[in-house]
Amino acid sequence: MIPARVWMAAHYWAALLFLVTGCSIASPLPAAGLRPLPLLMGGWIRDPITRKVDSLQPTLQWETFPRPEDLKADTDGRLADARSVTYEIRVWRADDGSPGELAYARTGLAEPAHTFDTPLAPDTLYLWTIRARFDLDGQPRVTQWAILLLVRADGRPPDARRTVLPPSGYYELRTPKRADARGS
Amino acid sequence: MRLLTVVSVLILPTRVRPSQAPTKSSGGRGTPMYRLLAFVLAVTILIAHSGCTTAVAVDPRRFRLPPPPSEATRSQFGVVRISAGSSAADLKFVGPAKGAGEGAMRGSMLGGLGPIVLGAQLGPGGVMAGILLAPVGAVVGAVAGAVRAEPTATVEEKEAAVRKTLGELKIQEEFLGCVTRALRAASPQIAVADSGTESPSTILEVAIEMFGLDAGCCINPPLTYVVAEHTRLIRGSDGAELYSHWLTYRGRTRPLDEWVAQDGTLLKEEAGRVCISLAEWLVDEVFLLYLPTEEGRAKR
Repeated sequence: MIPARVWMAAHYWAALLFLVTGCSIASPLPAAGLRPLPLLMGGWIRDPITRKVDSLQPTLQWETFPRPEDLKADTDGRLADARSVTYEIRVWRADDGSPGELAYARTGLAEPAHTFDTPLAPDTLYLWTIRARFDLDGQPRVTQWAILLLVRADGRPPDARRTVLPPSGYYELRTPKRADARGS
Repeated sequence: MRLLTVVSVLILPTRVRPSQAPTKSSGGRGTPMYRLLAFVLAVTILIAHSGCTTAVAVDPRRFRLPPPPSEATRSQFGVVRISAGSSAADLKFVGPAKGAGEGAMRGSMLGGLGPIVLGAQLGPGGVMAGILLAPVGAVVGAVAGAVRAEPTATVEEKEAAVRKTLGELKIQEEFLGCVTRALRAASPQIAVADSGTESPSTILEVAIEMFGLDAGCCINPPLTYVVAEHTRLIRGSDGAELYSHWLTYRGRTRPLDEWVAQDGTLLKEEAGRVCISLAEWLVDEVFLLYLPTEEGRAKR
């Protein structure tokens, strides 16, 4: 006969183990290009793909370029000489899951974060992406536009180098209803 | 097709055990006629199979972009001239069903496949049920297709309007202009030769291979504006190809009526928008993109 106290302790540790392994198995979703911060996580604990923001002029953040993984992959060591790094952001109204009308675009951003300087439309789904622009040996270069590499509802495979444009996998952003918007 | 070949060889044996050997009068399996028939069928399928495999050899770069030109290659570009490729642009129009007959045909296909596809979501039992229901679905689909399809004359009139609008676009010249502007805007450091005035070190050959409106398989589906381009980088000194890619841009999707309204205004606007976007992607890929990843490293 197993005492009730031992049973309780076993359940407690089992639950704790489940939570810990669940958290550790969760990893960043596969992506190409710079990733928005905080990272979207997959695994046992999965973030929703669509980010809800609480303002019509939200602040978006992303990884700094070059990332450690870029420097590691760049065996020629050219990226160590990258100069004048700036960022570009593009935001489209989602049109049946694809980028529709270009709603917002900025270039020459010095920091890997941006607060919209004009308001977006309330209760609207947008698609957005970023990339880095930099100089390499005096020549302008860019990273690829950031996308999530997920199998989408249309069944397209996760491949950042497909020949069909525009790519599926731009990041999703839903604005609040006007009444809910912070600062409104 | 490979499966068919294997199955045909398996189900049509040319030898039988002596105990099963039929008499000449029975004319069953194992008779010379039967062996000949089996042999001819197997050979026919094999020939058809090999024909299929050789006919569909398509450049993989049509589906997946190659790595961008290496930094070593880019450093040798020198003066770049942008020229139009020699191939003519194929005008594509895949539109709604023309008349009740085509509507019924499309409807029967959709109606027949629908139950099987839906059944497949439920497992093997669902597939079987779907196959059984397919004839019913095909009949229902055919009737619905025939009713929903627009008259042939109406669709052909709209198709003619689309073809006229697209034909007036001068797509090759427009795209050449879009690429030139995109290249000048993207990188002032790249020397772009004016046509005929300088001898270029590198030729950027761009060609629209296909453009038009494309639709799904439905009776009266909305249509998507599509453009496919082919780009080649050619060394001026010896004509060697340094790099090549294909890109297809799928633009907005609208009902055919909207595309033809107001003398094709929306179609012209979309063609202009896609021209700029596609040219920008092309220039990024060839001149600007740096991929510090596995594939980007491959040739660097």
